[in-house]
Amino acid sequence: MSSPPRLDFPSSDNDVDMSNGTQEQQTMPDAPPRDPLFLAGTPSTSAGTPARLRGQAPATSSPLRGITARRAVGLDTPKRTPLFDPGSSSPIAFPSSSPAKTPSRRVNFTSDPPEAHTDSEPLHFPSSPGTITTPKNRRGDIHSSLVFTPRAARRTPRASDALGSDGAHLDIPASSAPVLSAAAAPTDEPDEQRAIWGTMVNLNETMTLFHEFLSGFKPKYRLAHHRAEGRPTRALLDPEEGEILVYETYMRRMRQTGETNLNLDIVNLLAYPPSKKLYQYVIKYPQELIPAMDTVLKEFMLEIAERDREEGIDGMDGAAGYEEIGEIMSKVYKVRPFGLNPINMRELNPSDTEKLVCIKGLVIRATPVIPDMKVAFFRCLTCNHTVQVEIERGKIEEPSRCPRDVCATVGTMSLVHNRCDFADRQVIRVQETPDAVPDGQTPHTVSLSVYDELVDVAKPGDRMIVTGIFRSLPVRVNPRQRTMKSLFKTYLDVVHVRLGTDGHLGFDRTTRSSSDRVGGVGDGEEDRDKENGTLRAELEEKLRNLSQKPDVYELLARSLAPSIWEMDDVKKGILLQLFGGTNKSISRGGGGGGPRYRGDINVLLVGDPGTSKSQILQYVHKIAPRGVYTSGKGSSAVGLTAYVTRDPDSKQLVLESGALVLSDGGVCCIDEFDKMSDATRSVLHEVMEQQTVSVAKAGIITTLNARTSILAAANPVGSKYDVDMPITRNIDLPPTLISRFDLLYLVLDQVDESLDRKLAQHLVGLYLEDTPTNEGRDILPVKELSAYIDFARSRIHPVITENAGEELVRSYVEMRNMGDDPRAGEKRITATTRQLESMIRLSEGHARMRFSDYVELEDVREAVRLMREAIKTSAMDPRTGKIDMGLLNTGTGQGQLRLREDMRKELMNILNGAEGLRGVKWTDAVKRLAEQSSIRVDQAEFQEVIKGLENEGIVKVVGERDRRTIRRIEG
Amino acid sequence: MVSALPFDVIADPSTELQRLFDQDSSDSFPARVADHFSSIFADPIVFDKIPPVDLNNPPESFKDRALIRFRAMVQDTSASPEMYLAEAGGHKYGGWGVVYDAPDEIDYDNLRECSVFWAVSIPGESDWIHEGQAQPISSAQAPSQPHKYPHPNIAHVGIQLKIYNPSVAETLKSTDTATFVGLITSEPRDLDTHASDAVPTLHVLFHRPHPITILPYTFPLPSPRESISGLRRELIEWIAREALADDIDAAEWVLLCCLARVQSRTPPILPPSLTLSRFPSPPTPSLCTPVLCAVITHLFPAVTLLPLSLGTINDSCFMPESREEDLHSGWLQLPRGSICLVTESGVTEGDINEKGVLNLRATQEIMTHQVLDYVFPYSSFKFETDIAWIVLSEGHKSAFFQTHISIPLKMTNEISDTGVKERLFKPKDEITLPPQDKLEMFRSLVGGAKIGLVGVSEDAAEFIQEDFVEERRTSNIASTSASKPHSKITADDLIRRMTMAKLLALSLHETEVTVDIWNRMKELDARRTSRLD
Repeated sequence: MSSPPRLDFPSSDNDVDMSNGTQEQQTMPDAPPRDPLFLAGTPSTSAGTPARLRGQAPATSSPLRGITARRAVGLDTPKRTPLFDPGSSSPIAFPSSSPAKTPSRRVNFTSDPPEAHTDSEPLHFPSSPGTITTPKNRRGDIHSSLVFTPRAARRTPRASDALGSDGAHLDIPASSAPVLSAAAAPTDEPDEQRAIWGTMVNLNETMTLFHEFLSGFKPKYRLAHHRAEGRPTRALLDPEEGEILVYETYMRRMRQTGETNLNLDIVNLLAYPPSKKLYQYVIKYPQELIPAMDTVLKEFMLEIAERDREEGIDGMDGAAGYEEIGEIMSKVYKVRPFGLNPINMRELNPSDTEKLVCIKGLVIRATPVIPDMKVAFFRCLTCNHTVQVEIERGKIEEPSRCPRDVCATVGTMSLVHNRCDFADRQVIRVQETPDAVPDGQTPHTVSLSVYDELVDVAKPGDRMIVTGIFRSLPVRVNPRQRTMKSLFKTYLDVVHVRLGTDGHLGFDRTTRSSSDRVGGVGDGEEDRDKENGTLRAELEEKLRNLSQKPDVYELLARSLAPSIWEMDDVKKGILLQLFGGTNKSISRGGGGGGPRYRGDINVLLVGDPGTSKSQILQYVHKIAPRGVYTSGKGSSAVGLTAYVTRDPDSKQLVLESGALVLSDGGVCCIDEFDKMSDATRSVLHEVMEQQTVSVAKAGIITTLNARTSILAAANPVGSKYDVDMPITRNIDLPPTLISRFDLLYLVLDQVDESLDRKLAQHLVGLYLEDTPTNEGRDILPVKELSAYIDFARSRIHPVITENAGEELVRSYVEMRNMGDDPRAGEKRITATTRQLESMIRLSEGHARMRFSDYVELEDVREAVRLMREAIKTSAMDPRTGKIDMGLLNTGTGQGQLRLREDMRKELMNILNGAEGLRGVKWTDAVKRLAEQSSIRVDQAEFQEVIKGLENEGIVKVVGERDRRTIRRIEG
Repeated sequence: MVSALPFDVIADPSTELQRLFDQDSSDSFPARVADHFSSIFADPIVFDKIPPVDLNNPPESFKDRALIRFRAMVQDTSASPEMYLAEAGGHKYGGWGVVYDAPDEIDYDNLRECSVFWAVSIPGESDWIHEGQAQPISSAQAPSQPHKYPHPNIAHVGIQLKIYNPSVAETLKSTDTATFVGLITSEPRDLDTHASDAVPTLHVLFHRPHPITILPYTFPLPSPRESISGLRRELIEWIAREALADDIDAAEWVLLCCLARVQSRTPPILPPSLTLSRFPSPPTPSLCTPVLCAVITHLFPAVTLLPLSLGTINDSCFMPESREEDLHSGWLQLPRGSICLVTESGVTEGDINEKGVLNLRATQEIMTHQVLDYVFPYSSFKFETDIAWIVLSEGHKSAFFQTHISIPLKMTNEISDTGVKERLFKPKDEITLPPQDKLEMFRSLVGGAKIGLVGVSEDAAEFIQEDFVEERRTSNIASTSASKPHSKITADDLIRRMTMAKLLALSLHETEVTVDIWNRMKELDARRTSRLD
């Protein structure tokens, strides 16, 4: 062992933290009562685990003592009786006064003989913080910062003789014991006690196991594990793929990228036979295991670096190699375990206390980042002696006098701000997601404390899966009394966060900047299938199989809204909307990138009341990513966009997002679209083409992203669709808005005797009994459908093939030509570039639906078919039976224009007579026109014509209502 | 034979709890507590001996840790569960509000979970349910957390419940009604955010859920058909005479709609909402409560009056909303089986703000779908409701709501306009009550009907189908031949008639809809539609 010498020459070694003697003293006081979580400005140490643990171990220079000291403090395992590994025979009798034996975890620290530290103090003086080069492994989430100094330094010299065998590792404690006894430090405890307090778990052994795991884990173990569980596995591309040393690869990547977090899928621990028990250990004793793993990780990083340096691997040879190693030495490495099956918040129960748990939820509130002073730095104004003080109960206790015996001046210690250590902390309130709440129950909320890199990763409104340690804090009736009502409050110290949850769709990843990603190596997108994606692989396999089905399109469409009969094309259109086209942006161009072209498809449903439009919307809202459902009747412009409010915590003005912003990257379902106020609707103009929302309120002027697809449902004007009128007259919506919808469907109610009979049978059947049931059909459950869409949206980004491109062009030209009618001398507009764009988006959506990386002919054909069907119903001029996009784009069809022209001509004929100057009664004019015309004269049309003439200054209307007369103006 | 045990327990429940804990301190202790205490008070007479908490006996009037019972509606289940130490030092039970010295060290293995709910006295509860008690006096003390009661400014009791039996906690949902029995103390609310304010807290030993009628009833009544039919006629006549200016048809519709409840969600068979249109405005603004409300209250256990005015629409909450992680109640958070009477006479000219629009929308949502959105941050949760609606409107239809059924009030007698108004808005103590036993019979008639099950006989089903197809065919021909578009019979009409036919059968305590009842229903409906023209 190389540690003992270090005791003698502390200053020569990087690993030794010189200042800790003093800290030790500062942290000595009795165990602090734990802090309330939301205490204003409470920095993190609160979080309930004895903060005093932090940084106290370094008092000893030996890494082993780090652990013993830690143990002396009492670990946080909720166990009382220490059960030492019976197998480990200690050469030294335990001192009976050993705090480790004291069952009480709180008191023991005071009972720890302080002489040890005082003894060592002189060694540490003068404590000049400048010598600290190794950062203490401080993690906010695990409050005990096990300051293991990396063992690697010790290991490497041994590497040749010890051969890294387990036996050799196990030898360490034994061999160190004599040395320790020689050192005769009273608090020293033999290494055999490095068992996790109160358990059979030997910490040393687990560290060895973890080291072995890191160096030995290969994907094939994971596959074997799955096979053993009888789960379908992904076939390897070649046998070599199964032999990759996964974690070594990660380590190298971490070294190259400077990343310090390793996301560890703990299922891998289970899969790797030698480390199997680590899986249970890390769940049961995360408080101890995770810091130990951190240490091993650092050791292993050094080991690999050392090896690479010796082998002279590129970038690691010579001085660069040493520099790199020095770099690694100075870093704090963190293992972030994940991979547990997420449980429901309400399933958290007392037995999970201090265990690793995984929950999913919706972020409802997050405090601003709290700078969490971890260590305060004091300097004596008299003698310039410096002292570092650990945070205690959210407070820094200022030393009342200079601790140096020589000086001991009272009241001279002053805080040096820029030498203090700070860390980030944030408290997040997470609420159960609607899908996790049992029917008729209200959602529960849980507090999370996140630290360091995980701060600000999740924003309110995000769904996430977190892995963390479940904590319970006793609550006193009165903080100053010792009586308690046996109540505890609970929260989670988070160790790992993943945004978006698997059951539901997450947000569209292309809408988030990459900086939103949680740092760390080991669960990156690219690795997902490889090592943690067992479930994913399984799911993917299933989804891929599904996508190969010839009738997948029909199946998905059917599953979209299973309780609604017929309406196949509507369902298909909405299905493609859910898949969406690809978002395109032009990377070059003025202003740092050109505009972004929307891939979102907007759909409008118009139809008779009671045709289950709302039901469709409700279905989509449940399936859609970040789906937001609002009703036009109840929403205001503000509710849709954003409003400014005062944050209850920070008392600052904050912008709160409305439905459109909330559904950024998702689908916004708007029911009763026609009942929306004009002001509200005008917001949608911007959203539907520019995909942004501009807010100018309370001094905040900003543009928010609202990259959302819109699915709207509207009722016709007279609540019943009048088939004799063009659609624009039936829907009271501005044509400019209508044209922004890619697909517009008319849903009408038709009378048919046999259908009626069926309907009656169905309905009466429902009433026959008191509790009717639904018959099952071949449909996908919502969850699977959701997963399918999510998968396609996140993975498949189809590119248009040449063939498809040509077909798009051809179809577009054809659609435009539909207006050409050789018999009529007029030109109707049947398609505009908007329709071409829609076609592209729909074809992309269809290709995505097939899991195809290319948009092919069939995709375009289906897109065109859907477009045509939609146009056929919506843009058909009811008078001529011809399709005319002008109806939708300008509100007036070509046929209608011609009609008006005719009417105008006839009207002028009437007015041109002598009576025209006197004035023709409005009603008379209508009557006379009707006599001439073969079709009914439409009052509204007539009014339009008059208005036009009035504007041109040809006629003048006098009087009101029925007494109106039309007078020609002379000149 | 009456044992002394219940009285001992009422006098000192803590000792009994400790005695039980001495016998069994295992994990099943909470469940055992529920069983044990429940069996002690199994006898209704003994049960009634437990002192109740109500407006006359507010929670503050009891000494700490006294045994009480509380008939309540669960208002809020969203508070996070709490952990407690199941065993305090020296083999004493933990939980149930015990206070003890903090042990030096906490045995985390002994932690158990208890659920924290908020319960309020049942909104709109009729006086006659209180066992022969005097009118509730207005309690001088304002209830704690008034925002957690659906009706603002109405005296009520609100108590925090702590439920130690996890299996019970899972089954209780918002708006469930039950009588909770337990120990009353005072404890702070929600450890995280409301640390300071102490509220009355009931540590529940056991609870008894209520049916939607609160009191138990039977269906069908064992009496012969004719006597039920006669009783029903008397009831309708009484309602018509006292509350509706002798309009028998309107009274029948009111009765039928009050009997309705949610029968099925998928497919939806929901209670039809009723608009009583052409309902005159009150003679004086002070007497704005129609006597109909009081009359229904005499018959049904939970009736709520929602007096619409610009103030209530714009400023009060209709939907429960979670603010600062505290679920505030709203007008519409009503227990299952409630009847809600809406008056529009208080509405004057003015603006309705955004909140008002949302409030009206939520009300409409319950009328049509019987679901209520509880507003939570970033999400809203739909809760199923079961509320029967009667809207009183001055116009020919409701200004705010679309109801399933609309019937104009028709004054049969030739009385002066003011005379009618005075009859419709007379003070409730001017109601001529039938004899007490008759009133009880009325209550058991409607109570039984409210819980009854009814099917459709096979020949009636066949008949109804044919009827529908035929009607639709003829109406379609009529609409195409006539220039004026004729109202078409739609599926909605069929559904409405089916629902009403079932209610008619229920009101007669029949177990099946027969052709006879169907025809009776159609006649009733025809009389109603003729009034609409």
